[in-house]
Amino acid sequence: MAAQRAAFEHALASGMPRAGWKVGLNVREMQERLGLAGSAVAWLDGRRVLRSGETFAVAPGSLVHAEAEIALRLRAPVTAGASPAAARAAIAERMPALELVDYARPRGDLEAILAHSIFHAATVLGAPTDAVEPALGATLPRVEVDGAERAVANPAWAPPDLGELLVHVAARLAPIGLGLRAGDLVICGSYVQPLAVAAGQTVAADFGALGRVAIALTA
Amino acid sequence: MERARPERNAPSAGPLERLLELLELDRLDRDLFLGQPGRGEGRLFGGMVAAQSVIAAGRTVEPGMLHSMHGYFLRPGSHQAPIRFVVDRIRDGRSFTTRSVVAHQGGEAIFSLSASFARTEGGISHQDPMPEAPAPETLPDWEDVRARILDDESQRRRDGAVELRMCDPEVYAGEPKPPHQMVWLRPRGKVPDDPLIHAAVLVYASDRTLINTAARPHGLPWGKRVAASLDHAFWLHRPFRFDDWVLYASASPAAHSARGLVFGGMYRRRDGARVASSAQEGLVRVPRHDPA
Repeated sequence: MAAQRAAFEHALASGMPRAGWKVGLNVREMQERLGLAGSAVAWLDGRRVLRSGETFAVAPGSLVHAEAEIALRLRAPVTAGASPAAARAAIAERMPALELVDYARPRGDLEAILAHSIFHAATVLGAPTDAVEPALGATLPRVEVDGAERAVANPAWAPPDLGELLVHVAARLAPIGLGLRAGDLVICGSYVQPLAVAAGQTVAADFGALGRVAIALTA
Repeated sequence: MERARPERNAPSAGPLERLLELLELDRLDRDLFLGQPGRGEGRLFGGMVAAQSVIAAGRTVEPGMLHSMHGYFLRPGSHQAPIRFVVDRIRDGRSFTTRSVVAHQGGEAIFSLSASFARTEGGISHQDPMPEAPAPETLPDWEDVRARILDDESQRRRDGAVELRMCDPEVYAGEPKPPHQMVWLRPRGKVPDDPLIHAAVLVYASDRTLINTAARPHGLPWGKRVAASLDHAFWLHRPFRFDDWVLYASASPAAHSARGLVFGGMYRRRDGARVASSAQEGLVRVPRHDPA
């Protein structure tokens, strides 16, 4: 986590706008190996927060995968000791989202992968939805590539209570002197198996009543 | 609180323990694994990457036993960077489960694997008999032969996770020999009880010596050729524990354009059961000696 904070602060010092946070390393055996109780948390690249319908340039040698997630934007800070209800009350916006991850970057070992946001490449946001829990967690996305359905969400991978998730993120950040602020985005973990995508394809996640988000990948 | 990561490849560990540690992949996501290349010089041993890929595939299958794998060695791997194994769950069937794995290193694919896993079921069974072969106890360890070829005892190593004894070690004089050979193989220690690890260590072992079979009729023993595995196929016929000697008999029916094809059969010494079969095409080139 210390290396992650250093990488985050270096990126901010280099001009990256602060965007927010993601959860990752959701496999229990990996969490146990690292001594983590629950998912890891990593920072989002504020230079790569895209709107649905925009394009993403795939760098040569990339192994880009798409994940369908729910994104939250906070209206108020959430502290590690907050109640789930208070954390839920801090949510200003809920959006369908795609996270693009690149398994080829960074090129280093596990420490480098953790420090550099667990393969994070970009966040793609759909329009804010008025839907609230429990509909939010119960609506499962379909993921399409070039209009053809490629993945259906696994209900078991739906994010848990969003308030609890925010408190978990805050608790992960607190020991390294970071926290959830008003304006922060949080993407809540993928509902689907990461889907390999490539330049020339358009990937979309359709959350039904919650909206749709899409990104075109270019060379 | 994050736990300190145990050191990989501790120098004090034995060769099999080091291999077993390399087969312990970090599961970064449900279908994404990170593996270490281990210490060494030159390019990675292809059998090690194949074995790691089998582990990655097998860790996404429950239940099922590896019964076949087909792999292509796409680029030489290096000891300098970790390897990422990306698994694609092709099919989960009632009897058979299929996985695809691509191993990436430094942003490039180095190995691709298709692997199939099956539930055990009753049915037909037959096999050819195990060939007659001298007992492994009567044969020299490959490392002794190797030191003799190099004519340098200081080069003698005990770093092979799998002990190898060639039934015809004198081939290394360099004269042409028939395109078939037999070797004995066994792990240099105890393999853990996980059947997938036994299968992976056998896959690792199955990539040894096959190219040599194709090179024999051309008088190109180890050290006098440039060689690389191009692909590798492996079939595990029955549940198997790699705890003792296995006879690996191989034959090369054809070679052309610097590519030699080899088929192998692996037999359990204890009862002669044919436990596995393999096929490999290898690149065998004669080193160029430019005139001065």
